[in-house]
Amino acid sequence: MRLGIRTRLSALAWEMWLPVVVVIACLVVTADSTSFYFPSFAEIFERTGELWFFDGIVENVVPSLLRILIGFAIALVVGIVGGIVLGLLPRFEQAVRPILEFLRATPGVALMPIAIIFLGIGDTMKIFLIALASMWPILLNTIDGVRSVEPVLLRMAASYRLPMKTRIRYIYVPNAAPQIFAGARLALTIATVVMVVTEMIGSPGGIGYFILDSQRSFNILNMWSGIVVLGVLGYLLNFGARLVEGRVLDWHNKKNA
Amino acid sequence: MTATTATAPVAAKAKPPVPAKTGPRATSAAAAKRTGAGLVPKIVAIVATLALWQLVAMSPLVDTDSLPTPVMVVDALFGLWGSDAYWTALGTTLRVWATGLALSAVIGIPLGLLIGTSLRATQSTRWIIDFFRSIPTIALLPLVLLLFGATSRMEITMIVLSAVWPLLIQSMYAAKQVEPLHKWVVRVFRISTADRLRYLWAPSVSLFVFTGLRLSATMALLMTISAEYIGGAPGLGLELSHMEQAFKRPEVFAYAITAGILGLLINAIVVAAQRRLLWWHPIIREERGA
Repeated sequence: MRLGIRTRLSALAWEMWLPVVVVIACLVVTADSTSFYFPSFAEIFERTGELWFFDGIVENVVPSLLRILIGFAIALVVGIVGGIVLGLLPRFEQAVRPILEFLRATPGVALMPIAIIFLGIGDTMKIFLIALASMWPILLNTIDGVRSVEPVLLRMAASYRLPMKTRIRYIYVPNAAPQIFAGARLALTIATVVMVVTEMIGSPGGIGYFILDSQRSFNILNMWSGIVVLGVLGYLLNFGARLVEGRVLDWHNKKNA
Repeated sequence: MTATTATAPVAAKAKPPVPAKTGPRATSAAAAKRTGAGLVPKIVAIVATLALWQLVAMSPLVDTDSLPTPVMVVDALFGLWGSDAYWTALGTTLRVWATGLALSAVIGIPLGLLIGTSLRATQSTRWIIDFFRSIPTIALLPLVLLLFGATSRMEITMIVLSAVWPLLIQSMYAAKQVEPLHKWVVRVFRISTADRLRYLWAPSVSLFVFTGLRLSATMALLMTISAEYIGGAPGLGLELSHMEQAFKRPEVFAYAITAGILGLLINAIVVAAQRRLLWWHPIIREERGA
């Protein structure tokens, strides 16, 4: 998009004004708030600064981040590899489809008691559940992506007797990549939810635990600061995912532009 | 096409990340034929999975206390079907889920369409919507729990807070992709507002809105059960938690399976409703024809 600098500036101004107004309005309205549940914005930010920089980050953000990254990485690997394998075996995939659909439709939280029975309430259970719940969108999208390869390309590959490895690397994966990313973005949202939920149930350590614990001890300011930090973390994770996607799918977006 | 393809329009911002499916559709036609014939392998796969589960559960590797056999689980499920608690919990969960989803639709769809029709409104709200849809709303559970207690109001608030975004965003995209030419035609002919809504807007936006509805429905169920399980509001999630604490393993599995069936049913209903209402839509017709 080659826009003039004026158009860009005006677009930026339009994007900016409402968020700025909202933040200022929140600051003003809650400035001398006496409500127990909704303390003033300024106080929350102050507390956030005190609590989270940098003791809280080491104590709570790092464990949460590690869990979601490891869980999500497992989901990516299993989802993509499994998706390619199932995509290449249509008959087998048709047969197991009902089972996959059932597992996907089961809300991740409902599997938590079962996971707790086998894995306890520690990190293993949390990572397992994050990986399990966020795997389905990636897996199913990869299958769809592999399936939708142009038949002409496959016939070409057959004519040239390309080995399977080459076909996967140069035909299937690039073709499925946009779909895989669409699934991965959905999976990241699910992974964040499951991370928070498992932390709220499980052992100490992690932002989810911190928020629920603060609420139980009626430390409302701490609770709000936890919510703020979690919001920022969620936003940054999403932002990072979009950055990676922009990089990796650059060729695709250029082609479609 | 399953629910997964539905993620494509969500991603469609400025640039569609998923290529439009042009090209020959021979493969999907062949796949469709196989689906019709492939009932037997499906049943075989399910039976094989159950048999494997039974074998693992009976083997000395795990004790039956921690992993119940499928027979025990089915037995527990039948036992639960005879109990009132099960049906009450299921009914409560469904009611809360439906109320929350309906409320999300009533808020999200009109708002999304309105924002989507105006470039200025889209620009103004971009950052706010972007921020709220990417933060995990489940973080607000403790706060909402404090405000409302373990009630269905708490659950519905949580559902709306999380399920409104997919609907809102899909409606925004829906409003954007209405054909400008059609809008001009409608204006040139001075067609009344009611007719514009009926004949231009409703058909143009419905497919995108349905996609949002499907995503929201799944999200709402996840939130309902999470809120029940952690927050302790009555429903399936709470029963699950009770059974877990009472070490009734087969019942835990039975409730988890119930939640899975519920998820499947909800998805099936939305898809069926889409087929029913949007049978005329080119994309749906293509799917059926393929």
